[in-house]
Amino acid sequence: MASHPCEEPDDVQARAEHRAIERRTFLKQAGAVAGLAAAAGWAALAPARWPLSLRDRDGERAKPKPRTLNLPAGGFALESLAAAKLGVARGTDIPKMLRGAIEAIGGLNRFVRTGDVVLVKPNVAFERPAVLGATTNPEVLAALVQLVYEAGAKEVRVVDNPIESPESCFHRSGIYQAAVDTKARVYLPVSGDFETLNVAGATWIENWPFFWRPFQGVDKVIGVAPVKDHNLCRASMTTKNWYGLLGGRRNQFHQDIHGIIADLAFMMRPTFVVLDGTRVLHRCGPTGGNLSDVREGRTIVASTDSLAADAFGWQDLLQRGDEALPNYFALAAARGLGNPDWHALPLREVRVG
Amino acid sequence: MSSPQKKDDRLFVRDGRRSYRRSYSLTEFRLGLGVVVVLVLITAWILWKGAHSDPALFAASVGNDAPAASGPADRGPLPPSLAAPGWHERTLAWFDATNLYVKINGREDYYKSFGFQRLGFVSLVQDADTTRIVDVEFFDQGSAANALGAQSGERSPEQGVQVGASGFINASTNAMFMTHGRYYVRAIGADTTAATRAQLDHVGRVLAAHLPSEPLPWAYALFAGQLGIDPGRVAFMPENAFSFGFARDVYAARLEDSEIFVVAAPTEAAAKELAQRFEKGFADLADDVRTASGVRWARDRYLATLAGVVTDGRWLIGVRGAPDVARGRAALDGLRAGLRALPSEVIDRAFAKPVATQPGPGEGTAEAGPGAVSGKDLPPASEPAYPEER
Repeated sequence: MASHPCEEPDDVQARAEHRAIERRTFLKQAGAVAGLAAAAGWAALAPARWPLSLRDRDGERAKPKPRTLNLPAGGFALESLAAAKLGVARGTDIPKMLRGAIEAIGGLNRFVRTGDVVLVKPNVAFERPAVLGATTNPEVLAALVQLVYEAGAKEVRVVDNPIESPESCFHRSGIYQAAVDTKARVYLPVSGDFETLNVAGATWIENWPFFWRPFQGVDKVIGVAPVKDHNLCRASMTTKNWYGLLGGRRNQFHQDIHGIIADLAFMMRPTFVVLDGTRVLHRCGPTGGNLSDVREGRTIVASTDSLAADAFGWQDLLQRGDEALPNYFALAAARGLGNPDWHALPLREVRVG
Repeated sequence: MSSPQKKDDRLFVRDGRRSYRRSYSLTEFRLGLGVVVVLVLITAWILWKGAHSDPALFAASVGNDAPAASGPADRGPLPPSLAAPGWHERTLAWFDATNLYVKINGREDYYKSFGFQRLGFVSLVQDADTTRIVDVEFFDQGSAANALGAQSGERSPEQGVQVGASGFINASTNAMFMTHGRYYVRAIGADTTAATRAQLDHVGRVLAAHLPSEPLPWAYALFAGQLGIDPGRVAFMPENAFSFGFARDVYAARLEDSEIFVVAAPTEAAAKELAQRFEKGFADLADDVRTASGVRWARDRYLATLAGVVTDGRWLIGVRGAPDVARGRAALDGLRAGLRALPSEVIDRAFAKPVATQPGPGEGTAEAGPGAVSGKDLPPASEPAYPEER
């Protein structure tokens, strides 16, 4: 290092040491900057699967992922399908018929415990008066809610997700008034009530918006569905009833209506189901509109096997025993979700006048 | 205090942290605390209200029976009002192919298979009793043939029709179903009272007077005009007739013991080719196929009835459900004779253009030109307008 002739040796040494410090500082700073640049480059450009990569070319990674939820393993069923029974009640006194049908499969106390929160799922799909048979008979719903409270339930929730104007559908069908009169709590869907439900193994609805809010804290689930003709799947009964818990653009499933119904059976294992055969919409379903398309059925069916209940409804109430069952029966039965051969189930039939 | 050496070692903030505010006032603290308390209270109130919603809010939204807003909303081809005196309309809503499912849900495909264009829906409410409601579903099916096809598919086999100038009406105790040109109207009441029936009748009269007319499809001149079949027994299947994917634009009529059908093919070769496809289709469902009286008859394996087709020029004519060869042959011969007796103008209309290309709204009305078939040309139906309650 050249020095100035007038510099003292101590000054020269001090200047040399200062330069060394500056170089060291520079190297540290340069190294830090280079390290930061390398880290930033890695995070931005490394392939997405590499560790610590934040690469997101299409923005999908940055989107918040909806949380997915699951129904309880085994659903809400208390017994295996192998132990299922079929209870059939005929008559005109709806409360007695309902009690008779449920007694025939073991009685409500077998299914509902004191303090249970019970969710009841009727069909409220259309803005139609009850006499047109497109929705669950409100008298059947009222009788069911009363029976459930008699069995000691703490709360009964009445739930459905009609596509158009839930308030109007609940009101025109009489379901809202029946629920209010029997102290049930009605859940009308709003967009924030839906969560993504994971149904591992389902074909169409492995991850699909589901009307989740009313299911929180629920102990038992009972479906109560009318008997209806359906122009796509030929019949709409207890298995298809769970369609009303789905959200999203569920109309797209009409392209594979039998597949989606089988998926619904996979999604929901209810405590038991009630097939409301007090009226039968035997033509022009599922919407109906003409009273001449509705006939009196005077029957209520209860079972822990939805497929068996539906098969009974197909043959006995829709009177289509000479036709093959709709395809969804075979699809669901192949997955062990019920037994369409209702004759094989222990059946008890009662007449209540 | 850091030494010069340590300050030099620091890479970024060379002058260390510095607090720019070394004190705050107690008043500010108290005000901030107050704000936090208010926010907590608001949050708690919101949560409580959500769990205890006012039922009156629900009743207000459903029972909102205010008459529809005045002013020219989009009423399309509908008259200014469908409400009879003593009734009023609620808000009219329109649905097209993209959102028809919202109103019709699982039945939307049925109307779409008949050329659905759009649906107008309005509820009519009685002033004196707001629980008495008539829902009017106004379907634009794109053509008279499609509208009649949709109506016939929803009518029970034993229900007859009343013939109007431009379509048909069939009624039940609570509802009225009518076609008028390209439109199919379903007016559905919730009860069977005289007041509801009067409103249903009013809807039918107002629409028949207001909507543009179209001639009936040519096949009514054949089945009803020539063969004397009740027009209520005539059906139009624009696609997938008899569950055959190739079978389009098929007109059929139910006889007492069988069903006859006809297709206007564009050429003789096309008619022959279509006949072969029908024969194969029927054979696939048969347990026995044999030729008799010049027709290849397939016996349905489940129903044990016969089906067969023949061609006559560009016509394909057929019969299903015939009990035996003799009656099947007679049905075919009668159909062939009826076709040959048709006026040339009707025949021209049959082969004029596909049903799906009828003019849309605003593109000009379908004038009743030569060969047009009007309801006035058809024998009157014997069914009353509304069935008596049983």
